[in-house]
Amino acid sequence: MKRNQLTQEDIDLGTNNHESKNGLYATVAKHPVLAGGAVLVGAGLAYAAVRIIKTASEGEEVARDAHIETSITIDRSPAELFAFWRDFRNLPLFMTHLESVIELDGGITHWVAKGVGGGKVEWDAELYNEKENELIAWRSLEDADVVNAGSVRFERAPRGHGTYVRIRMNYNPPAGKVGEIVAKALGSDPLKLIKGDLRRFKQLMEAGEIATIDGQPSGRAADAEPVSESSESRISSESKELANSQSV
Amino acid sequence: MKAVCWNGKRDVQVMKVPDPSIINPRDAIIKITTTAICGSDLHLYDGYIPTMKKGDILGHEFMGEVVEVGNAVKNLKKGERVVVPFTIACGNCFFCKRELWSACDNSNPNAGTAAFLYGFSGSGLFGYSHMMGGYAGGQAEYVRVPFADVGPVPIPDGLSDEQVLFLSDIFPTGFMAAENCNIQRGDTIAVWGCGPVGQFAIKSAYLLGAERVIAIDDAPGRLRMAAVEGKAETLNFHDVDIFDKLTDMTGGIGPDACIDAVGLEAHGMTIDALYDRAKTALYLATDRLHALRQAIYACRKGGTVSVPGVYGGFLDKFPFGAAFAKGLTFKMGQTNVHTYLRPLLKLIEEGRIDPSFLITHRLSLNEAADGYRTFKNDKNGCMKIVMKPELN
Repeated sequence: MKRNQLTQEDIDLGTNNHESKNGLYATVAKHPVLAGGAVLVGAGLAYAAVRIIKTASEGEEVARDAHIETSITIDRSPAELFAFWRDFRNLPLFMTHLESVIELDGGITHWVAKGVGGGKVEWDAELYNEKENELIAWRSLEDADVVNAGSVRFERAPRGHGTYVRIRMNYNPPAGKVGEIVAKALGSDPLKLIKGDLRRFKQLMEAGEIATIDGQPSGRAADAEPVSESSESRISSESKELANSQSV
Repeated sequence: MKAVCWNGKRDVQVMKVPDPSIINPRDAIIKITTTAICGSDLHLYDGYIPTMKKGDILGHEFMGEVVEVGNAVKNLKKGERVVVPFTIACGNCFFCKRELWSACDNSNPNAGTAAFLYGFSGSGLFGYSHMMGGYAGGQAEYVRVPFADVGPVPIPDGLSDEQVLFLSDIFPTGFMAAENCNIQRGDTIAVWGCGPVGQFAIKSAYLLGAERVIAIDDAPGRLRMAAVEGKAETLNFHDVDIFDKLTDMTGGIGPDACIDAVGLEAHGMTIDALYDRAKTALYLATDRLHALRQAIYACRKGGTVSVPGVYGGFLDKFPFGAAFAKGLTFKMGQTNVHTYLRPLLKLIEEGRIDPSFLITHRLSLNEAADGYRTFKNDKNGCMKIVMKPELN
């Protein structure tokens, strides 16, 4: 299977090598379906860098390369966090826009993200760098709906602080129908989304569950209705009594 | 079940809503026996706190009987009577481990919203806006309590609901306010605001070794309670210039510590108070800080200003120069309720304090709207309202 051109440099340096002829932009430019569009996924992302790319085939098209970095501190050891993350099936537990991640043979994983209105966004990725208890890095394969690459690092924090978890992602979101689905699913702020994912990861690792109010009652419930207030106020008389007895 | 819902500014209504259920393994469901309206509920009532939604269930001071527990809750039994802290804390994170429960990292599902506004998020709170988690509150017949293996404290038989209910918030809040003053033997503590938190701050200051407590308010009923129950010297800010009087009472030194138990809706009689009011009305500022300004000016050099009063936004004309010049220490924040639950319960059991002195009104849940109106409008006659669903 042909690999796309995202490299560790893309991930680590983010926007620093945009001019590279063989880099992400070149890849995108050659694939009109990948040009233009919005956002990715999987873990969420942001429009940190926006560049306009000219393609020879279809005149001017816009490609947006998104790069995000964010981090969180989790009060667990790097080994525990690495082990949980490395079992990719766990990721949808805290990444709300992922439906499933399946590990295939040869370090290949198949990712399915939730879309809107039943649409799905899927891609294969390879695990191309792994240091036990320290680093997991992945990048999408050639036919991905969303060209993306990312890494998560687990770095021992100062004593008593657990682990710094650092996420870096680059991705190039799709155009057309798929792009619309992705954009709708992720909203306007993918960085916010991935920060939320990391918070949920932390909650799961530290507290064993994810804080939620989904499913709790409120006056907004479909069958909620006002209860008629007792017409006679019993309060006024008591208050007056207390007030009358005051003098300082 | 019946629940008190926030429907907008100065509009609360008792609604019939679905019963709560266990959602997470560490949840419990509590059948409410007694709940109270808190002074900080008035900030919601008056529309000062953002991210409220129509239909939100109010209430963060409540207690009751455990009726259901999630499968991870091993320390509570069905039928047990518990008081529930208003701050929701996981017990596992960096902050909980350091007993900074109200800074819990893991209990606010909407931490992103709070972080956007404040830089970081505090813990989730019951019934106190969506940026604080959006949790349904306890002015209801039942409530879902997350992290029930950490928060609720069992109450021994022999103590009434009314004696222990205020462990949920205002007693620990008043106590922490006094503790934050780092009181030394012989200290004089001035307390702005003789509402429920102020009353507990007064009593707590004496418990922690203060020699004199001076209480400031303008409601004669509240000042009287501060004098009679709290044994405080009292000042009515309508009658005297607070700075001059405090300076004079302390021989020109100023109080060793000042407690602002008023918070963001402070009202006063001086030019700055009127200015604040105008700006708030025009949405140029959210918080009125007259009491806090006075506390900063009056406090002695090197003293402490302790702020249990709730602030929500930006402060205007904050006299930071005076604070700097005098080398003041500021202590503030949401109460780390969990820290105080058991020690304060012990004080109640030993008969050293009976928090029920505060209660002026006992209502059914159905009378909640009337209760909010009264608490809002009758600062003099209404100190504390408790509601009991069983009175419905």
